[in-house]
Amino acid sequence: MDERGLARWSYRWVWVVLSVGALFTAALAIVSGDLAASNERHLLRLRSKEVAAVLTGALPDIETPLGAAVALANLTGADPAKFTRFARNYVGAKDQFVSMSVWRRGDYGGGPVIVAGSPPELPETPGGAAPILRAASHRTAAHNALTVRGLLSATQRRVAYVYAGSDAGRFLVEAEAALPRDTYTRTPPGSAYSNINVAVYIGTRPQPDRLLLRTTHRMPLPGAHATTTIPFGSNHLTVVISARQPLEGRLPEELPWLVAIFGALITAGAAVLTFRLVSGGRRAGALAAENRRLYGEQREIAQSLQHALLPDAAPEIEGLELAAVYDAGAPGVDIGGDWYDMIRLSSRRLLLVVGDVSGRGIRAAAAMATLRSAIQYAAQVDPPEDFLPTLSGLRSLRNEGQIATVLCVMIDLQEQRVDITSAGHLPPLLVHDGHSRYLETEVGLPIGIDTDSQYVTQGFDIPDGASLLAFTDGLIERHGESLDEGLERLRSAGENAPGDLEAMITWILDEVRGSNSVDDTAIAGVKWAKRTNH
Amino acid sequence: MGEADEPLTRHHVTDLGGGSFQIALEGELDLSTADAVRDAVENTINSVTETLVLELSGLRFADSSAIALWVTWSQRVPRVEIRHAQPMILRVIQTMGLSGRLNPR
Repeated sequence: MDERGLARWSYRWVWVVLSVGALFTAALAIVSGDLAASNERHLLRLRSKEVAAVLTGALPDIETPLGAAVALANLTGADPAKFTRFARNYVGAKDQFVSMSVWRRGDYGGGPVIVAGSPPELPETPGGAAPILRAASHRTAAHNALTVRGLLSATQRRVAYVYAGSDAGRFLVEAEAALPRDTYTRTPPGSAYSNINVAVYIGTRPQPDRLLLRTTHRMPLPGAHATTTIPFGSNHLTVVISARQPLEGRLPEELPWLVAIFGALITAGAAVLTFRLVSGGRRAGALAAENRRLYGEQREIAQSLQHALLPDAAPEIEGLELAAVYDAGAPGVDIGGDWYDMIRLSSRRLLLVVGDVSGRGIRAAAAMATLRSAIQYAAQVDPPEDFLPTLSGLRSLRNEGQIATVLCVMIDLQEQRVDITSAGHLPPLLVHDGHSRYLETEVGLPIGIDTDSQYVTQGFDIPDGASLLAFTDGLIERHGESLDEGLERLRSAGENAPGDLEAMITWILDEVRGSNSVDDTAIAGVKWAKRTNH
Repeated sequence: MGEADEPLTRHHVTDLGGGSFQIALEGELDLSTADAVRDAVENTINSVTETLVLELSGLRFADSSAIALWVTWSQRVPRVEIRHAQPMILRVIQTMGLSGRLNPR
């Protein structure tokens, strides 16, 4: 072969090696991109199932007050005064429902017998209220007892719930919840849901005219998405989610590009080496471990919605400031079982509840939701020392071997006095005139142990202008520190805190709690105005 | 054996005779380890017909999950006695009104 021929051959080999290298690199980039994408899809599916499961968990929050309302209507023969007083806890512009009404069973033409809140829009739906109420009156089987209908039209944006209770009752109760006007609802900043878009539809298909709410303006949801349908009372909810950012984080998303850049810089030999590094045992093992961690993380994120259901706006009461906060603690950790509640029982009494279910994750969140609902109902009928023992019979606590500490502060709105009952829970802090002290009472057993346990209620007079803070141990607990040290830290912080109740709670949360606190905490506060005449 | 390999919670069961058993707990008992301990001593709990003694001198940390676990044991055996618990753990038991249930000594 002459010299020129040899040269041509050498060039050919170089080209062959480079093309093989390029082909390898391209294939690897596609494969790893594919892996990342299918992982992403898998995670999306998982998240959508969890959001759906949490929405199902919201059912007791609807069924419990409606069940109580039906019982009340039947027992009192639909007494309007008693019903509207009861409904005040649940109906209002910022409450769970905007309307609650009582209907006489079998006689729907004349409209509702009692209306609390704004008038029901159910009669305006095509076909009128009668067919829906009639169907609802037959639905008394346990798992299907709640009738759910979307009232969705150009002029309506509500969800209607109808509850019939037993077959023998004379009345049905219908309640309506308002949806955001253009269905858009902003994900609270810092929420665990801030990296996904969520759209919730009523029914089994994600049709635009059945949209209840969404957390993004771009519809249909952009990009890869996952859909889950779950039963919801007599109806269904369809949840569609998509990622705002890659769920897995940056590295797996950039892996294909890194591979492409890397491969382009070297020859086929190096490309084979890259192949070994990417798909070899160690790398696959690291990816698998990362996936396991992410799956675990996704699970707990769903439970934070349970805490999103805690009352946002406190009931407005003359002469009293009310404020509360739930703080989930360090991100990436399973959610806890702390909660607070403020239940208006009558014109004279408000019940403040703070509680702490043991454990974390979905077990704690589910038990917390059940306990909270049970207390809302029981408090209407009995005082805390009587209903607290019965809560220990709740199956959801017993089945999981959980216990819960609960503090009940019954506020007498006329007498400026509180009655405190504690089931294993820390005492509340009273702050007045630059001094603070704990209102200690005899502590009964935590809930979940003994249905025969005894509880003692003790009363305290409250001075003018004082503030009372009920809290969970997540506020004061520090690893390696005794409980008493933490209590003293809170007590002295209370003496230096700002006067405005919300500012006080925020300040105390920052001051007292460790910045890397893992535990969640709930704080509920009440402040009495200074009276001008005694 | 490096520190990474040592379990966070160690437990040791002793048959005290007459239907009583002792479980000695060492290290730290919290949410992450409570389930494992619970499963590991399940048979022992089932065998107690008199007293379950919890020897806690080696337990330097216990949170509400640990206490909830001891409480569930107290519902399944005639009597639970806690011995030599650190003052911090004792204080939490007292604050939660559980002294009568867990009988710390």
